[in-house]
Amino acid sequence: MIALTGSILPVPGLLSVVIRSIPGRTAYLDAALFSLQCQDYKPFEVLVVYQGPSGASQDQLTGLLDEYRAVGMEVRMVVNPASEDQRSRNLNLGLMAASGQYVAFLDDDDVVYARHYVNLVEAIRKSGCAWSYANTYQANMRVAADGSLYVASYSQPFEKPAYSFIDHYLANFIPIHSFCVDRATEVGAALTFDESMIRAEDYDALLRLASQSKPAFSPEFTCEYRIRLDGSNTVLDGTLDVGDLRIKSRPWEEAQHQIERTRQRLDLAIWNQDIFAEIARLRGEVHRLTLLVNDYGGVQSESKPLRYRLSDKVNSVLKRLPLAHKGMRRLGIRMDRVLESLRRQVIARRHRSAGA
Amino acid sequence: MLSLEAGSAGAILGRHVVVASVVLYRTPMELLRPCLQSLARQHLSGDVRLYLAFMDNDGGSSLAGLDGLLEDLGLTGKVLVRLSGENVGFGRAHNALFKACGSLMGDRAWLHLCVNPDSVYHHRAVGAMVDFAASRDFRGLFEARQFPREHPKPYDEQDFRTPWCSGCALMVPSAVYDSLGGFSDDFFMYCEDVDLSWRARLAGLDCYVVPAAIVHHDVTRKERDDAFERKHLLISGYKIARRFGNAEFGQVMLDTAGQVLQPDEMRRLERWGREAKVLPEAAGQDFADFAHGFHFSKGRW
Repeated sequence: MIALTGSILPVPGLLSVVIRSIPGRTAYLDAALFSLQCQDYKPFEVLVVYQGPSGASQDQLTGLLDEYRAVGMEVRMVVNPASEDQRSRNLNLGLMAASGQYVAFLDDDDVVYARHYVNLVEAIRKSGCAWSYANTYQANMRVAADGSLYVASYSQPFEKPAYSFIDHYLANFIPIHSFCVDRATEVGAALTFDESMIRAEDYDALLRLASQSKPAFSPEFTCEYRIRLDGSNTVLDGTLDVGDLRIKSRPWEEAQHQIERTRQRLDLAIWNQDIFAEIARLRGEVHRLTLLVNDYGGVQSESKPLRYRLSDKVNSVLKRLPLAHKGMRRLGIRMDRVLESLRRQVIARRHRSAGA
Repeated sequence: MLSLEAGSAGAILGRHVVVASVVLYRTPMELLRPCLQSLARQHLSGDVRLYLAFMDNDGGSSLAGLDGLLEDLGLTGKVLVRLSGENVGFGRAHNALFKACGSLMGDRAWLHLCVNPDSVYHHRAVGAMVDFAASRDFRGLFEARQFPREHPKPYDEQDFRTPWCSGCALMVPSAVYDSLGGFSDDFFMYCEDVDLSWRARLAGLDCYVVPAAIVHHDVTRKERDDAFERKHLLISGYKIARRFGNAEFGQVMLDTAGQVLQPDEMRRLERWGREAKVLPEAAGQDFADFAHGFHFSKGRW
């Protein structure tokens, strides 16, 4: 892994956006860059890390970047000539080239909305957190006759009402382009990606980041994770075939093991309070919704749809309770120990109250 | 009272002439700057020339600021006309611009481009629209793809036909604009683009989305006057339903408008309804879709 700290101090207020790209994707990258051109946040710079051979593809990319320079964008290209998948290294190369206090990432086939970085930086500034993230839409796209992308639908699979480390620990709901890191903080300055990983490298880095600093959350949906329904973005190079699958399945499995190791390595004890809070919140929600269902249970038939909706909501919340328990098991915390701890706290509080 | 000033553009040159027409109403210059900047930076082939035309719907209150901005962006020499007058709404303002520009064009065919002042054009968008329109012999209405949140109405992924064209970034060949009589004077804001599109389709023309032309239009950031917009949405909804003969949708609009409009506004609307020019040929046309509310077509999501 590359050490990024101790070099040049980041430029205050400057945002650096790192984009990874590979041959044959200038059409997608064009949309990503246009979305940056329309950003409200200023100033920013763009680092496009191109992994691929020199030649026509690189020339095409150079031409595209020249076009954006002509419309006033501060954009630089970093070249990684390696032939094997080095997606994590590409992120680190971008980080090393970046000079901004704030750093964000954007895959070349995704887009951000105009207020994305204004919101993210404001969330960092207001909260004092080392990083922030926003809600993300998923755009499900088909490839049209002229090669352009047709939005078939939007969905919100990453949506969460608030940050929960438990949820994050269980699965990543923060896509790589939805967050921004403040490198003027100690935690943010230490951000790096594990170069042994070719999958979930962002999740691994985020888990490490989150274990040290809880993020600020900007609830507005300000970016799009673009899924091509032909499956061509299951890997970054878009050339997945049976041979690739065989070659990549092993490192992908290894990446999953790495995530597990990261989970185990992190000092998660500090998150115990989060677990208690999460369980209490879920239980409270179940209780509130159950009361609502009971209230509506006796009402006439015209209220039935509402009643069913409430029942569905209760069920969905109930389903999350075991998830919280599962998270606790992963953390090696036994429920009886948790309950014992809670019991002691209650007794201590009673004693304090009695003393007062 | 409409006031007309000739712009400082010299001889109108180019095989394909595009006039980017912008309607202003108390438009902040910081909002307009990215829009005009994006037009100034268009990558156009040698046979395409882009000019500008402005209509200030607030009696000219924005024109002084506009002068400074145009000079700053090096666009002063691109302006064909500048109009100002009372607020006549979107469609009538474009009709006035079309007429004023047309008087300078003589017999030349040209392309009227409706440009929302809060939009930003990709540097290849105008060229892509011209190329696409040329590939369809300039027969039809051509709208850019809105970005990053697209308009929910669908378009065909093979031939790019769409049920109707939004007026946000709409290119209308002059012959088509002439033959349709432009936007209907009946509409102040909203639905005038749907009305124009459906009349185009009645005339045997098609409406297209040009996927390669992307125009940034962030509808979520707009400062909204909900009551004002709702009122005009209902009025326009009633009018288009009346013109295209959908009594059911019209009645819903009228009933809802009755809860929002002042009594005198309501009387005016009802009088309009009695005297309205209904389009008899529209009866039974399945493209006049009132089943999906103000989407006027089945939505993609």
